Amino acid sequence: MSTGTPGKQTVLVIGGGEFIDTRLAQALSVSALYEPVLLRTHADLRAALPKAAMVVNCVARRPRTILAVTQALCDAARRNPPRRIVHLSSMAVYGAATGVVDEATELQAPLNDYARARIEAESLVLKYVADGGDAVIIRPSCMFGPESEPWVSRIARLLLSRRLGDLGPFGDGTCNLIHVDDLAAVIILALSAANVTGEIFNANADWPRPTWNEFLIRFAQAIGATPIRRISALRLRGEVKLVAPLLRGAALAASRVGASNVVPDALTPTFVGTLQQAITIDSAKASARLGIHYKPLDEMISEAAQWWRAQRVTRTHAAQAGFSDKTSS
Amino acid sequence: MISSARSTVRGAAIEADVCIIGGGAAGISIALELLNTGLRVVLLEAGGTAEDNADQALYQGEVADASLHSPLDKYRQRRFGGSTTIWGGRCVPLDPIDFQARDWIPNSGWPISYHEVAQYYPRANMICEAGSCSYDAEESVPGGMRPIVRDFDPADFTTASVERFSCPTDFGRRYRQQLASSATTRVLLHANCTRLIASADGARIEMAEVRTLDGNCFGVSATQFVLATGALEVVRLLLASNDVHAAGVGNAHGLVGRYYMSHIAGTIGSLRIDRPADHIWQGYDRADDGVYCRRRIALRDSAQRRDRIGNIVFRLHHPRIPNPRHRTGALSAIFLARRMISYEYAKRLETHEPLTARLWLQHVANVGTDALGASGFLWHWLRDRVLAERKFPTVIIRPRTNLFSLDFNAEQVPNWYSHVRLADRVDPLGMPRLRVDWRYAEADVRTVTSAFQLLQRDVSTAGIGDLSLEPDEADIEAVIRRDGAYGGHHIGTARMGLDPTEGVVDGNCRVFGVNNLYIASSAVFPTSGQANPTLTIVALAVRLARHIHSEEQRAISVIDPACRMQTQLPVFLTESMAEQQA
Repeated sequence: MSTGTPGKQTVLVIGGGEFIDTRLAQALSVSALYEPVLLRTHADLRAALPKAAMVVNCVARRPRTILAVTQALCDAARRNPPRRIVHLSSMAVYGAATGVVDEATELQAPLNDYARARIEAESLVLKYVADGGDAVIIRPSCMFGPESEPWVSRIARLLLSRRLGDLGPFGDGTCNLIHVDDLAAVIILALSAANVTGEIFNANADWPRPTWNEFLIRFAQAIGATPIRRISALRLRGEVKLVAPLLRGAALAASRVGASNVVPDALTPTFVGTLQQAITIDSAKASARLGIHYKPLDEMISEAAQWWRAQRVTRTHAAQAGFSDKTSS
Repeated sequence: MISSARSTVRGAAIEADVCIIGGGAAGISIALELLNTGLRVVLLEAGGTAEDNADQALYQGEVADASLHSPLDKYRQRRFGGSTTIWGGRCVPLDPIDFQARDWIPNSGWPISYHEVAQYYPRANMICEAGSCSYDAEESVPGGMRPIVRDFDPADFTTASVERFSCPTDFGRRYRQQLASSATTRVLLHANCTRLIASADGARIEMAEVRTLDGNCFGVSATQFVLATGALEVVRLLLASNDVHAAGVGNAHGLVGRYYMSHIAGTIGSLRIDRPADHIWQGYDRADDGVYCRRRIALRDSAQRRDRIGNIVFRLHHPRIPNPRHRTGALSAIFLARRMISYEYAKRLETHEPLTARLWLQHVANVGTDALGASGFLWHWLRDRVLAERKFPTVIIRPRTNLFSLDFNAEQVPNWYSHVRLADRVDPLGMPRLRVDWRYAEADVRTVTSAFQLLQRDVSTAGIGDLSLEPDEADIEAVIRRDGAYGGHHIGTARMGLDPTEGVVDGNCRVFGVNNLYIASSAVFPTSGQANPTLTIVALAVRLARHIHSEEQRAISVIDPACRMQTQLPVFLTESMAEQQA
């Protein structure tokens, strides 16, 4: 273990180009205690680990990558144990559960490969703890905030194209969000918290949770996607069952020629299922043990909308100037 | 969970914390509010998930004057969702003045304040899917709504008040999934509550007796009972439950079924507006949340007090459809197609004039000469009404001339003689049918007459045109009689009062003298106001749900077991015992 800057502990942030790893690195870099090292090439993991006092595993997206990186991290950590690993998991581990779920809730059958990988990765981390390592698992809800592709950019595009709106019974699910900066704060608190080895923490804003319909309406108003359209059940089913597979196929083909951003967003079954799921992620444990305070929803929406509008203006200007319209995630 | 009462074990006694009788706007709203409270809720819905002739026929009854009141199986739906399966979706809160005791309106005044109800309107708006709780024309739509007539600022009316429209939301369809997936809520379909079984001392309801049309019978025992049917069925069930309370439950002072109100409503007058067409707006604006909103011409409180009349609103309306003189193709097309329109919506298309060949030809000629207008309307109706999930609320057709009529919706004064009682005949379940004797009073005629005259004066003073009565409308009472009691607005039959001599329920909607029976219905409104009742029904239901929840929490430790022991219940077994015997 070593420290790059005197007095500061090096925190290895393993990411995959997710927006949380960048934001976390920014948050760490302004703290007096930590110095982040952002690692995006996992092949370097074994070499990087001995230099780090602590590790945050933010790898997401592809199930295979999540498992491979987590396995490699645990293996390497057994040889060169960092002071603590904070492993970022997901609320996806709760599957199709409804009602209030906390960290003690028994996990249900995973809904897809991603959730299965998340559950298996948690098992790997808990095994590492059982073997004497120090690790903490964070299960964040939907990560919201500037630069969030799935929960800001995608939703904004869908609202503006009127393919998303007031979903009626399909939007009755509970809106579980956490601001990316709040999540970064939870992670940083987890790095230094005492007596939390092997603990799991849900990370979810603790304000009274609206339904997804209420959130979509408020967000649409904030970005000017009004009047909001009521989406019929028939249309939504058509989007999920007919249009989404076509769009995903088209996106795959387009990505091979480097033009994935020209394909409209798909309303996938997982996404629509989330909007329908009446699950409330209870984050009382994180509030009590880590002492986190969450950003109010109005502030989150307003900030995200402001970022979205500014980003659109920038892209429009860039497009007018003949530059690429590639969206960063 | 949702299941059928037909498959419930015969003779069982289902136990619940709260038994809700009626699966319409009020019943479903209460069930939704109690979803995550941990309370065991049983909701009894008399119908199934679709209209069924046999279920619907249970609503049939007698009407004293068929020209004034619709048949009792119209405007009411005996199925899950109740009458929200056919409602128009108009959401309007009551006004503060509606809650006040007004010396010129006998029996006016609610025992609770406007603010006591108003705090629940935002949640009611959400449940009704009528968007934000903003009923001001300047706030409802960014930048304000378009004026009805530009620069028309009448002295005795305000055009700033707004009505918002639900999808219209069919509560049964919309909230079915939420209720079905609940572990603590049990919805029983085809469950006709035929009797409320009271304790020996009459102070509590011990059980709701349930029968199905195929002969099943069982009971639901609960700590709290909520009668959440419409205002007519409330009377039926209270009066028919007369084994302990000889005059019927809650009827010690003979008030159940009295003061039956609707709204005095119809179409009146001919308003010619001498302004450019783009200075006039009779249609809807859309709020940010996608909800259709529309301005009304509402009589100010000050004018009501000064002229000692009731509350009333007017809306700019197209000319009367049956009269072909409007020369508007779309209106004539509606008239010609009226047989294809449901009874509830076709009623306004009735005409007392003979349907002569000449009348038909005039309408056909209107369609022919205004084919573009008629086809444009049909396309708009198909796209924005038939196919849209949030439906364009009503027919809005701009007349070819600036000649409009006025739609009005007026308060009906509480009238003891206007009543609902049990008839001699019974239905197939052995329940007495109802007999309705709806009456209006001279004060109701005066409200419409005076308000019309005030608006005439304001129109004239503002110099925007001319408002007059049609030749066949000189007698405004005849106009009122032409349209009769406004369909579906059944109000006041179990009114709220300060004590049992002036009301059936108290300010918490609890039946006087029966500690655990509540009523969630427009039956409890002491006065009707001018507003359509559904939004207030839902607001009161939300309020009641919260009251019941707090009562349940308080009562957990203080239930008197002796109270139950005094009861002589019919032989109902617990569900598991009944299952074993079966």
